[in-house]
Amino acid sequence: MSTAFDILVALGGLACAGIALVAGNRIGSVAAFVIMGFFVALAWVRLGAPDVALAEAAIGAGLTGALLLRSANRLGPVREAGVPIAVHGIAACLSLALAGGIVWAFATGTAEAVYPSLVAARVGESGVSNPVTAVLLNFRAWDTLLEVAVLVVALLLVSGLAPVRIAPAPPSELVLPFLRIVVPVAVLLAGHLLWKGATAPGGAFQAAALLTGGGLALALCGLLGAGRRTGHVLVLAGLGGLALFLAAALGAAILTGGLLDYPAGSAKVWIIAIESALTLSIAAMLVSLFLGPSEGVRDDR
Amino acid sequence: MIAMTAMVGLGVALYASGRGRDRARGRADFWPLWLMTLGALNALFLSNDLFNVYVAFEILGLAAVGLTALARSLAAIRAAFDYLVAGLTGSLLLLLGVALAYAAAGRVDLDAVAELAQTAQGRVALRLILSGLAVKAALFPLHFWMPAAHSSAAPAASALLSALVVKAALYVALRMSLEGGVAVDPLRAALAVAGSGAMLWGAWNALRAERLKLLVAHSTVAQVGLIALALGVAGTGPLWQAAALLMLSHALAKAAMFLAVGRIAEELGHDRISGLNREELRPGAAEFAFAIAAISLVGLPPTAGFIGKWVLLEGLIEDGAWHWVGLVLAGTALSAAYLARVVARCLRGGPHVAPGARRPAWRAGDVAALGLATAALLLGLASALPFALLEVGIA
Amino acid sequence: MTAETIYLLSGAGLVGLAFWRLGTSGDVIRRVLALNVLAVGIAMLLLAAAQDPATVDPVPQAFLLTGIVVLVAVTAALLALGERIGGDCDE
Repeated sequence: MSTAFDILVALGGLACAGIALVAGNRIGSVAAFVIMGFFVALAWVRLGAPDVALAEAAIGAGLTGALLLRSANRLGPVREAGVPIAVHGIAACLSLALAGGIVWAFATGTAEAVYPSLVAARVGESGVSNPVTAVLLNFRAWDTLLEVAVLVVALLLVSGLAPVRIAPAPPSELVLPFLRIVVPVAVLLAGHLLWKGATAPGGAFQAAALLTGGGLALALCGLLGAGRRTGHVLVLAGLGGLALFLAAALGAAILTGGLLDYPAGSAKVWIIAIESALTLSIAAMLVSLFLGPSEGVRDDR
Repeated sequence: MIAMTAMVGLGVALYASGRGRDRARGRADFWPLWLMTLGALNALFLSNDLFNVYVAFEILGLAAVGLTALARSLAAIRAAFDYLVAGLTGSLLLLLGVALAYAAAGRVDLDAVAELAQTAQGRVALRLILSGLAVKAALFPLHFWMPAAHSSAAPAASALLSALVVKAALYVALRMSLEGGVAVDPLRAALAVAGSGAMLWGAWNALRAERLKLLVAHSTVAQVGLIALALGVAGTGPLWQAAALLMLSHALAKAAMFLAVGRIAEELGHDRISGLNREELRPGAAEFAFAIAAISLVGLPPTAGFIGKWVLLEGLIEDGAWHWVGLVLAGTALSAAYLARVVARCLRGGPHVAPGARRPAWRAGDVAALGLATAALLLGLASALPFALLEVGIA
Repeated sequence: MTAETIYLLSGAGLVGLAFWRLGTSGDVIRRVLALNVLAVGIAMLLLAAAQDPATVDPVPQAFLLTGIVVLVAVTAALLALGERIGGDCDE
């Protein structure tokens, strides 16, 4: 029974990916991509990774899908230069060979992973009991710090570039009551996910994705105040997260002598503080990544 | 390596700050990207973990693309898009390799490389990582995105991209080659072959380039090839120091060269090679800096490029690897040829220059270009210092 | 057939599809989609390979969370650039 389910999910994901990549209709292919995201999230729940599944559904499928839809609207229909059939054939053969090689290599690679036992042995020291959060915010916090820096750079790049801010649609009568329910619920759920992240699946990234959804709903209806001030506040919030994380890293280094080595005993406080700041700042950065630069800042173009 | 980053970064900053307030629009965006590039490079040079390397590469790639796109022309944006697609493909190949390495060895720090090289799966993983790095380093035949990106960016950005960003991938390749030991020999051979291909192809395109920046960008392809060749033939022997020295000297010389080209283009109003010897303008400091950088790239004494090539050739001759010697010499001759196209036109005088020719004014950009070129020269004269540092680095 | 094998195959399939499209398409959105599919495929492979019925291995999951956030940042940048150059990015 469960094998049949797995096969169905795997095939569904593959089929949606195929549709997303060959469909001539842009909206259709983005829709297929989003559905693929949900199939993949299901697959990951089956593989015992609910944290990643949550993030994939919210960020990978949801937010990326929204970004793609925005661009699909702006770019118009697919304009594809014809590629000779030989190129298609060669590319297909190479890809098949690569896929085959990957299957063989992954299926036969049987080394015992070194990390799980290390993590299991020290999760108690990390201040949280969800091992994924422990790895992200304690054992491999350096990766996470760099990752927030990636977001900042992307924001810099986009704010120097993107063409026009989205013109918000005036909210219709149905939207307002909907928003009144959805946005507070999103905020509440985000807080819940953030807090639960210490012990159960969830955490800063998933919470940030939810907040982003709420923020986007507000912004698209013109309720966030599409002015220059909002843009600045969002960017400042985004940068503030990185600054706080850096400050925490340095502070911990001063206190314990190791970068991001939290003082023994109080690790949980540090992690929760950093996570909360990160949630807000990641959400702010994702919203401004979607919206593009604020009006008036670049009136020189 | 960090010292190299800081030095080139300083030079570029000097140049950029000297660009005057008329370019204020691009400047506000330049500084954060510049800082991010340097920060990512430092993170990369210090990290000992393949996944760290992946994330640092993402920062670096995005910042580099931002720098390319700063020029704001359609060509620059197009080049930036292609650059980002290529860069992301490279990072994803790297990530695929890291994933496979985790499956095959159970860990992802750089010390695991030796272990990976023992198993067939591990070798596939290493191959994937290396091909990702090759995309990032613009190693032939995966260099397609690079000349466009480097030649359409603003000079200060090109200097950073060409001198440092490309080196980051080569540096990681060097680290992996050193960790891998004897077992990764086939990979090294592939690196050497791709390197020689890059050397010849880049030089050929540089010979045919019509614009100065394009010539310098193609010359980067050729020089990356030379460094990859050095990495490939070096093995675990002392020859890897030659490769590292070549990296350093190329970083300094190429940054100097791009800055000088930027200044030349500013004075002339264009950068067509055929129009370099104009009558009413005397050659200035920028041309001088370009010439010194060219000498270092070709590898004439007493520059750092010469020492690097000398150590490399000496080692190759001792090993009796005459085909590699021949390739290195051919590459050198070609680079001398294409750089001579420019230098010969710069060293004009006598009847070419009208009596009342105006001298170009001194700018901070000249100082930066000249300073970096001089540093390349001094690095050659005091080459004991980098060798001593490299000894420390390996110990 | 275990769940790992099934998802291993589908992950490899996703990677293969993505590379094929990347090699043959010049359209902005298709390229971005292909890169995203490629990343999903890699994530699938990593998770399936790290799958162990007895214990959950949190390290690859942390890798993937990082990877997902990095990817959405890069995608946003790609699309911003892509919108500026219009639909077609071949010569």
